[in-house]
Amino acid sequence: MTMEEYRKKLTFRQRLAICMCLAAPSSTWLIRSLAGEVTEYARGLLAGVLVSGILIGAFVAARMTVLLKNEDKLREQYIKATDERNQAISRETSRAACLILLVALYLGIIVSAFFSITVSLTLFCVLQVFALAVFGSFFYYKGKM
Amino acid sequence: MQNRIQELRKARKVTQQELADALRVTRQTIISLENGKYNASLTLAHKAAQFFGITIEELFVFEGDENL
Repeated sequence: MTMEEYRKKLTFRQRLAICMCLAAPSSTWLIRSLAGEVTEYARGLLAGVLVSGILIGAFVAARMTVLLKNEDKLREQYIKATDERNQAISRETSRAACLILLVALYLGIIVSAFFSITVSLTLFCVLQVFALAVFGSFFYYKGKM
Repeated sequence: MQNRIQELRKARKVTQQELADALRVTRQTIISLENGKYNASLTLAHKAAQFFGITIEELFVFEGDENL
């Protein structure tokens, strides 16, 4: 990735973050109006999503603006983002996290089966989705490389 | 795989940060390369060899199973 491509990527992220800030209140209102009467928990969850959406969007937008306006900081961030050791660390981290998650889910299914069938079946479904995502990604990258 | 990055860098009085800037990587990557904790990709190996004006084989020491 060249510096110019990275700048475009950051500009896109900045716009996306601004859109997220703007869309959070309207989408929350839309969900509430479409869902009609919702439980206390759902209302709390929606409020949480709204607040976190605005905060995260504002934070990312501010960070991208600072980077795009300061050439030295942009270059520093570009090197960090494209550094091959950092990328290798990210790859290894993802691989290890996937393996840990897989083992944890597997154990969770077995242990929860003694206490709650609902939890066990939910974890089983999560495991299936996870496995589908892994296989999908594997075949996608197999075709690309 | 061993390398002569530290030896050549010190011989040319180049700091780790200067080398990192020239190769467009972080200083931590240079430290890891010098300590043998991380093996450079072909692209980075090529850039490093170009920086020192030598071949990849002269910069990186391939041992045992790494050779044919």
